[in-house]
Amino acid sequence: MAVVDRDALLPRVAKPIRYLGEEHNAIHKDHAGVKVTVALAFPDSYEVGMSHLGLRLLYDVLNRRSDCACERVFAPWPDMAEEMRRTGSPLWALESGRPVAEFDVLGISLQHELNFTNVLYLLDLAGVPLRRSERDSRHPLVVGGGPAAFNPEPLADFFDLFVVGDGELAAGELVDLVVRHGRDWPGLLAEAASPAGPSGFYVPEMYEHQYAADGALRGIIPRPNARFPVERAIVPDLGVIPIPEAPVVPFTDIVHDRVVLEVCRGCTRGCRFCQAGMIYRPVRERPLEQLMEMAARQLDATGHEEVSLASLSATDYSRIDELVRGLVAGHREKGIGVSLPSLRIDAFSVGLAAEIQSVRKSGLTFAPEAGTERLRRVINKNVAEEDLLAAVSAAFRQGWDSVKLYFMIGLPTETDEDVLAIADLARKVWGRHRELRPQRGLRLAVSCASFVPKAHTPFQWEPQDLPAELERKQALLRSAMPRRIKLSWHSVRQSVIEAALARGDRRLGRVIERAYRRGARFDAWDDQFLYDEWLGAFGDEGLEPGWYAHRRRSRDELLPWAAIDSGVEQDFLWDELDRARDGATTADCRSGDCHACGLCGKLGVAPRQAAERASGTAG
Amino acid sequence: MSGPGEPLGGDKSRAGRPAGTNRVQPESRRGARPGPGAKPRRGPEPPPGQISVARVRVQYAKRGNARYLSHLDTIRALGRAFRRAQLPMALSGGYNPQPKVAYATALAVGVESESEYVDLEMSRGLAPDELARSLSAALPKGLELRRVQVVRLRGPALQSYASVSRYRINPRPGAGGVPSGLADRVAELLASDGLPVTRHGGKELDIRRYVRSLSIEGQELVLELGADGRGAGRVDEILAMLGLDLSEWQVLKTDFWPLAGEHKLSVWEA
Repeated sequence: MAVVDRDALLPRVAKPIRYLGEEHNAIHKDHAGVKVTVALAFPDSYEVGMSHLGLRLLYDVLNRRSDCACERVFAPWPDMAEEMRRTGSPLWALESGRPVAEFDVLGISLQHELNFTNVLYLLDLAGVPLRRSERDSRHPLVVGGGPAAFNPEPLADFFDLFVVGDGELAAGELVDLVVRHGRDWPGLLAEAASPAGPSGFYVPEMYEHQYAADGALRGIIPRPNARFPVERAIVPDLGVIPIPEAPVVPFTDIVHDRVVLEVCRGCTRGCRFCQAGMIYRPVRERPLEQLMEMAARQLDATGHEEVSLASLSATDYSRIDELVRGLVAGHREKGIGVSLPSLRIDAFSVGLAAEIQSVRKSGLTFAPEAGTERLRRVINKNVAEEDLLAAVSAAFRQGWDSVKLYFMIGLPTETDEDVLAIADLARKVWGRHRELRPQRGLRLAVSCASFVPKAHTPFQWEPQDLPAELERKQALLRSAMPRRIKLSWHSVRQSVIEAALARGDRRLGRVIERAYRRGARFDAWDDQFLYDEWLGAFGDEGLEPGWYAHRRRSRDELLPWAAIDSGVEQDFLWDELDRARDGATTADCRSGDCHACGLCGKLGVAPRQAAERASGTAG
Repeated sequence: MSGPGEPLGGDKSRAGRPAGTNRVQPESRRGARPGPGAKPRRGPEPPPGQISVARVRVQYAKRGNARYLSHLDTIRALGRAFRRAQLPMALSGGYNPQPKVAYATALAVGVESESEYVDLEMSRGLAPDELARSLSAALPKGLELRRVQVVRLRGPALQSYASVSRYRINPRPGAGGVPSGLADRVAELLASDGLPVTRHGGKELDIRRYVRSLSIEGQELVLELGADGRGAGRVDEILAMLGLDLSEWQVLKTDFWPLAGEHKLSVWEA
């Protein structure tokens, strides 16, 4: 099919520029000159998807290959979807404007569960059958990756393949497979699933899931010659992976509109609720010199006015002081700012922020996560109240009058006392400001998410609070929080559906499809989310979201994601859960104190710090 | 990499909003010294070496798919091109120093133009053709440089003038020709004494006085629309009043004149 006639559609929709691929630095290749075409899709709006670093990295890695053309795809906003359906226009890839259905591979980024209906929305708009059982070699190979692929089961009916873990090397291995097998998808998948296949490749059709009468998963039966379990893909040394030199410069205002440098991957603080902290282990820092050079090149190539240092905990980067001072000194003349997405709770981090904010002054964000020290020990977020007060005091002395605090409600063992302590803590922060800057007003914002237990974490066996209980706790906090402090939360209903899907099994594929048919998409957007349709979809399949979200699992229950090996041992996770119940903390392993999570030995990797690298002791 | 501890898409509200972070504010007219009502500037003075010593006026075109850029998108894209071209831009002071840039007018989405203007203040003198060379190479597809000329540093901003823009409107290839009856609709529009429109936010406006001329020349509609300190006519509104669908017409802004009374000035002499 020829290029989709976009001019017939664009004048009728909001922000048409996001449906064209002519941004500065976008890569256009002639499909006739390559062996493999990849449509790389993000199942959310252009503004959200273009802000995602992983997409930028994969776009770069794939387009560095001369035999591969990689183009971007985002979820069209509903006004555009309506125009596409009205005119019979299929979903296109931005760069060439060619239908997505014509590409060899459709790769879809899976960041969180509230994007799942958008996966179906993309396939549907592309004219690709939703279920893999209804597709054949005329259709693209549909591949998923990203943190939500660590429990791929709810989406198992829709994907041919999941790439679990780091994508930079795996993406190339996938292209190699397509070069070798052509469009023989069964042959390709057989090789991908075999013990000799690349690590991280999970082929759902190779695993049969059997259920007991009570709904519990009874067994996972791999086909002969399929690996069990599938170890995640890992890049042992990020320093060898090139950073994009000239990222695409969006025309429209995206969420994170700046140069983003991933200073390290993985975090070893071991917060027990945090999936990212478990599935991206061990900590791997990029070399300082590489970061400095790439910041300069990306700024030159994009014209951006800000560099953001991204990581789960950027201030833990072992040479952060040098990096920040170097970036500020190197680019201050041009009016370029440096930013850190969130700060570790200590005076050092605030000092660092003061350094970089000499160019721009904005608010500071801290995430204590829980209101009492007891509960923070339970979740292994080891911050004393005095640490937080010292950090905000340092910030106030430096002249900040705007602070944001992130908490969670519904954490395991939480009592009303823990909830009320959030208001106490906020009040103490307010008090420090009044002491230190009596002439100035403070803007203090407290944001509370509802806790969602995630797979591959110590809390994967724990129940989520019932919706009524979460709402009661929210009301309790509301009543205790002074009005002058801005209090916000995420919808309990969205958190319940997120929790059900996060630990869902393969049967939820039918629920997701029904929810989509009932109109659900863009579930992460408050104004688009359709709770009643989700409940209806569960009901139609005779399933209960609460069975997935609010039920405590036992240690011997077979978990739906058992075929996926993150590298972290189940025994370690269970031990961490025990320690959580006892209020015992576990120290950061980067100090050299190994807690035997099992990962390094199994995957043949080790923590890599830029400071060690500089002194020549990297392992 | 949104962990369960982070608010899901915490920033997403920003994405749904129309682009609101206008980094480069179109500046109002700047005099040599601040008037009595001028606000004291917060924060530090601009660093030495970044104060204005020259002003250049840049004419650029917006062609092809660049017509889908909103005014804010265009400002953002050009601001980044100025950085990529490493132009010696003068910066404002304050905690958040901004390049000193002033745009003449905003162009409606879906409209192409040969006649867009922006004034840049520079921190050092730069030959116009040197500037043109660097900037041309840095512009994104669809934004094309037409002319660069030095203008008086303390001269008036183009935005401070009442102005007239001329548009040439042609049927897109394959979209059929000029519909029969268009001449009657044009005559009817010109004969009416009021053309009320409702703008974003519910503001009501009569744009009849901004329609300075409208005629059919062969297969082409030619329209001159005015703008002044109180408002402006918009070409997309006129097309809608004529029952024409913007997706079927190529609209090109060919000329822009600042006005001195009723007299059209050259942009380069304003």
